[in-house]
Amino acid sequence: MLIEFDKVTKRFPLTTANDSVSFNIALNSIHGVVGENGAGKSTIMKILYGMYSHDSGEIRFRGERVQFSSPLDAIRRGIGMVHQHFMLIPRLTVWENILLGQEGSFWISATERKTPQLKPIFESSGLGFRLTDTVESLSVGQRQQVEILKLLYRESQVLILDEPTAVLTPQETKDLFQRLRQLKAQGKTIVIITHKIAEVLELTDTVTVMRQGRVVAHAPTHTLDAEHLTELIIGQACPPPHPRAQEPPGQPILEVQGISTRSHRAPLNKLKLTVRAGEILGIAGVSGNGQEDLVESIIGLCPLSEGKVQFRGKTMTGSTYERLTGGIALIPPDRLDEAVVPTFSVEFNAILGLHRGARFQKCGILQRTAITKHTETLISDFSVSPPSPVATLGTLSGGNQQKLVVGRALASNPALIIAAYPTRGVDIGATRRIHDELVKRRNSGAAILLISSELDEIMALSDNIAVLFDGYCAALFPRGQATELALGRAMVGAA
Amino acid sequence: MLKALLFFSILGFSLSAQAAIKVGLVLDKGGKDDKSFNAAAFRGASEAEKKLGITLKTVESSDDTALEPSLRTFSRKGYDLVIGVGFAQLNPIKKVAAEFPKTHFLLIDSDAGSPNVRSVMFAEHEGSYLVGVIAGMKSQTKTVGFVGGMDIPLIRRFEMGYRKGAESIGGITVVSNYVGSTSDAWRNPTKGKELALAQISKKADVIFAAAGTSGMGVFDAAEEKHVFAIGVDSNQNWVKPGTILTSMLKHGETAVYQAIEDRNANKFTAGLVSMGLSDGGVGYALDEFNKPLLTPAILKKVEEVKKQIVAKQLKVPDYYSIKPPQ
Amino acid sequence: MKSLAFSLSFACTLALAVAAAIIWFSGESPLALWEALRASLSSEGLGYTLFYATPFVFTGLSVAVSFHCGLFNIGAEGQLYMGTLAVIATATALPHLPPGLAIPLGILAAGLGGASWGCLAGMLKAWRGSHEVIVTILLNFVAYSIVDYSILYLYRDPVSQSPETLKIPGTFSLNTFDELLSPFSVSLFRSTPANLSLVLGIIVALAVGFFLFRTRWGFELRTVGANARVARFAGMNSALSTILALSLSGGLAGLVGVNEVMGHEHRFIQGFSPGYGFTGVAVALLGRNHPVGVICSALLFGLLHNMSREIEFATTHVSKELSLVIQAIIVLAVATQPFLVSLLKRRSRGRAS
Repeated sequence: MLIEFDKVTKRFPLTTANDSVSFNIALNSIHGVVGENGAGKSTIMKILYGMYSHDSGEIRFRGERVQFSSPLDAIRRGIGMVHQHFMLIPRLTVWENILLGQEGSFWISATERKTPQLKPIFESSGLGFRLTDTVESLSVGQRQQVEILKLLYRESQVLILDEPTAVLTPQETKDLFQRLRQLKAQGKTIVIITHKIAEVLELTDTVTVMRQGRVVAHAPTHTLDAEHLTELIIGQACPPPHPRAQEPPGQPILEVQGISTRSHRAPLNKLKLTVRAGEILGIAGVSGNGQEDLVESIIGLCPLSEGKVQFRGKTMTGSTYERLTGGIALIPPDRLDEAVVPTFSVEFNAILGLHRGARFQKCGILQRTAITKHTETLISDFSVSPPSPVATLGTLSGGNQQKLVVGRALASNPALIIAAYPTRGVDIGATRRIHDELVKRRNSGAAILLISSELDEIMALSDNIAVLFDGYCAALFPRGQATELALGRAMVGAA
Repeated sequence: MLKALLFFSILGFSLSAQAAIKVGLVLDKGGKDDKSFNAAAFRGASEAEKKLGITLKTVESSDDTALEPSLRTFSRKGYDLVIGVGFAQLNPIKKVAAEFPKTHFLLIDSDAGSPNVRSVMFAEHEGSYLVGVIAGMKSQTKTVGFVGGMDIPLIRRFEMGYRKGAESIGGITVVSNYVGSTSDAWRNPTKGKELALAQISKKADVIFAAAGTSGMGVFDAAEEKHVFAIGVDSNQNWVKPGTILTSMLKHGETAVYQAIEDRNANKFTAGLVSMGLSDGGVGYALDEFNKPLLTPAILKKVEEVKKQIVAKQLKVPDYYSIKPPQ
Repeated sequence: MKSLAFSLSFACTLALAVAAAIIWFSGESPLALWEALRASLSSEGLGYTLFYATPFVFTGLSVAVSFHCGLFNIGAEGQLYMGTLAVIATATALPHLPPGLAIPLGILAAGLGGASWGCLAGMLKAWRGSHEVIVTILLNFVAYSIVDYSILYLYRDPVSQSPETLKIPGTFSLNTFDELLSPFSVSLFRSTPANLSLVLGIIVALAVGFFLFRTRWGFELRTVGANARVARFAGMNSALSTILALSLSGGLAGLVGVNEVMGHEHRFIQGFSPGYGFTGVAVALLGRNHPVGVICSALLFGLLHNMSREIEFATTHVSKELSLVIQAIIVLAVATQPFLVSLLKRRSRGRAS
C-alpha cells in the first residue's frame, strides 16, 4: 500500500471533520474519494497534503509514518494537489506558472536553465497550447492541465485532484479522464475527490465513500453500481424526483424585449426571452456568452443600451432593492463574489437582502430571535451542515453555502426566480433537494429562469430551453425536443 | 520676621551642606539639540552641574500635554528647583507651582507671577536694537530685512527693536516678513529661504533671522546671493563665517545658571527678573568669525549706543509696552 | 475575544522584550522599563494614562468603523481638529447656555464637526470614485488650514504668546475624575486631566458595537466592507454605506475635541494633537476593529504614551522616542502575528516529531 490512513481524526471548533478515518490507497491506481459536501473528503486529503494537521491517528506513506508540516513538505515527498480553485497567476506564462516557487538563482533566468527539463514532460502530454502562452489566454480545462503539469514537473508520484470536473465542459472532462488514464499508465497514483457518481464509476479503480466524517465503504469500483453508490453516499435510498404538474403555463411574468448592454464582459445583443408563470425556462450556453449581463439587467445592476425588461407587464425601472423585494428572487451566478460573505455568520448570510423586511428589523434594530428562527428553518429545510446559525459561513463547504443561498432566495415566495447555476458545487442529495424545490415552485405558479452549464440539469428541469450565444438567443427548444447534440451545436453558434 | 529668615537660612545652609540640591529641567518641543534657546538653557544647567555639583535631570517634552505631568513629577519627587523653558510652559508652571508651594521654579520667557516662581524675561528689543544699528551701518543698499518665525508678540518685539536700531542710522528702509503663524513656522527653512530671497530682490543686503531652524534657510539665501545675515539667541557666527554678520544673543544659560546657583546657596528669590543689556542678559556676538566683517566705525558706534542704553540715556521702544503679553 | 487577548499579550510581550533589549544595549538597566510602568500605573500616572487613552478610544473607533466598511480613513487627524473647532465655535456662539444643555450640545458639535469632514471624503469616494486614502490625507491639510485660520483670526486669545483660543464658558466643562472624587477625599487620579470624556468614550464604543452588529445599517455597512458586489446583489446601496461609514468615522474622531476642550484645556491650542488620529490606525489594528478591543488597545496606547515620559525619568539617556519603537513593534507584531504563530507552531511540531 502506498498510503495508509489509520484512525485519523480531525476536529474543527464546531464539527468533527474526520472521525477515525482508516483506508488505504494502492500504488499506481486511480482512487476515488466520494461523499456529500461536508463529508470530510477534502479535509482528509488536505491533511495528507500538509495543509491541516490531524488531532490523532497516523498516516503512513510508503510504510513510513509521516506528518507533513506544509504543502511544500508534501511536494518534496512526491505528493501534489490540484485545488478546486486554481493557484495560477493569469498574467504569467505557462512556464512561469510552472516554475513558480522554483525559480532558483536570481542571476540565471530559470526559464532558460530549466527548459530542457520541462520540454519532454510538456511534449509528451500533447496539449493544445504553448509554454509561452499566458495563462489568462487559456480555457478553464487548459488551466487545469497547467496545474497538472506543475505537479509533474515537481516529480509528484501522487496527484490529488479536488473536484476536478466541477468547472469543465463535457468535452474537457473527457480529455481530462483520458489524460489521467495516461498518467496512470506512466506509473502515477491518482486520487480524485468528487461527488459525481458517473465519473467515479467511469474512471476509478477503487473507491472510498465517506459520510459525516466517517468512512462508510471502501471497495473496488467494479463491485458497485450507480444506485448502490448513491445510497452509500446519501445514506438512504434515493427518492424519485418531484412530479411535474401538467398545467399549461400562465401569463408572461418576465419579458426581456430586445435588450443590449455595453459591458466589458460578454454584452447582450438584442436578446429576447419570455418566462411565463408556471414555466421553467432553461438558458443553455457556454459561460461568457452574456449570462452575467442577463442576470444583472433583470435586477437593475447593468444599464441597458436598448430594449426593456418587463415584469408582470410593467417596465422595470426601480432600484435593485425594489426589484428584489418586489417579487423577484435571485440565486446569484457566483456564490463567493455575489451571494455570501464568508467571514459573517450563517445567520447574517441567511438574511442578506431580506434584512430590511419588517420581520428582521424594527426601527433599524435587527431582531435576533426572528433571524435565528429564520436561519434554523432554512438549515433544517435544506439540511445545511453543520446545523449551527452562529457558525462562520466560510467554515461550511461550498455545497452547504449554496443550499443556504437557495433557501434564502426561495424564502420570500417570489413570482420570478432567477436561478443562476443553482447547484454549482452541490452534492447529489442537495442537488436533488434544490431541483425538487424549483419544480415545486414551478408547479405552484412561479416563473423560473434557470441558467446552468450542466446540460443534464437544464434538460431535466426546463419546460423550454433557450440557447444563449454571443449575447442573443441562438435557438429555442420546447421540452423533449432538445437533444444534447442539438444543444451542443447551438451553444457554439453552429445551429 | 528677621528671626524666621535667619532660622530658614541656617536650616537651608545646613541642608545644602549635607546634600547636593536636585534640579529638574523641562525643555519644550525643540529639545536640547535645537542649537538655540533650549540648547542654551541646557548648557547653563550642565555647567552648573559641573561647577556646583548639583544633581541634574533633563526631560524633553514630545508634546504640549506632557509638560505639566513632567513638571509635576519633578515636584513630587522632591526636586528643589524645577526649570521650565519657553512660554508654552506658562500655564503648566502656574498650575504646578500652586500645587507645590515649597518647590522653587524657574520659568524662562514668560511671567508666571506665582510666589515660588522666578520668571526671567529678556529685553530682546535692546539686543535687537544693537544688531539693527550694525545692519543699518553695514548696508550698502540702505535696505535691511527681518525674517521672523512665528508671528507672536515675542518676535514682534525683536522686530521693533531691530527696526528702530536700523532706522536710527538714517535713510534706511526695513522690509519684514514672518514665516507663519503656527509653531511649524520655527521649522520651515524652505520658506525662510524663500522669504529671504524675496527680500534680497527688494534690495535688502542684511537680513536678521529670528526664526528658529527656519533661519537656516535665511543663511543659505544670504550666502547664495552674497549678502549678510544676522543670527539669533545663541552665537551662530560659526554657522556660515563671512555671511553671518553677527548674532543677537539671548543668554538663557546665564539665567538658568544663576537660578541654580542662587538656589544652591539658598538665595533663591521669586518674582520677575528682566535681563537686558545692563546685566548681560542680551547682547551681540563678536568673535573671530565675524571680526573681519565689522569695521571699527561700526564697532565704535554700536558700543556707544550700548553705553547709552545701559545708562538709560536711550530708551529702546518695546513692543510689549504697546501690547503687553500675558 | 480570546484571540484578541492572545494577540494583545503576544504583541506586548514581544514589544517589551525588544524595548528591554534596547535599553540594555544602551548601557542601562532594563528595570527602568518596569519603573516607568510602575510610575504610569501610580495614582497620578494612571490618571494620565486614562487621559491619553481617551483620544485613542475615539480615533481607534473612528478607524475601526471605516475598516468595517472596507475603507481606510487616514484623515482622523483632520477630523478631530474639525470636531474641536466645532466645539469652540458652538461654545463661543452660545456662552449663556445652562450646563445641562451646553454639554450635550458641545458633544454633538464635536461629533458633527468631525462628521462633516468625514462626510466630504465619503461623498468624494462614493460619487466621484476618488480613493479614500488620498482624499482623507489631503483633507487633513485643508482641515489644518481652516483650523489654523480660525484659531488665529476668529477665536484667538489676543494676549497669549501661543496660538490658542480664548477659554470657553465654564458651562461647557466636563468634570475631571479628580473633581468628581474630591468630595469623598479620594486621591486617585489626583490633579490629572482624566475626565468624563473617557466615560463618554466607553458609552460611544458600546454604541458603535451595537450599531455595527445589531442594526440594519451596521449590517449593510459591514457587508459593503466585506464585498461590495455581494452588497449590490443584496440590493444594498454601497454609496450610501460608504458615506455613512466615513461620516461616522469622522464624527468619532471629532469627539477627541470633547476630551481636549471640554475636559481638559477649555481652549483650542493649535497643534495639540501628537498624532492621535494616525495612532488611531494602530489602535484599531491592535483592537481587531472590535469596539471592546479598541478600548483595551486604547488603554494600552495611553499607557505607552505616558510611559514615554516616565522612561526619561527612569533612565539617564534613553530618549522618549523609545515608546515609538515599542508602538511600532506592537503594530508589527500584530500584523505579522499569524505568520509568527504558525512559525512557532511548526518549530515546536518539528521538534516533537
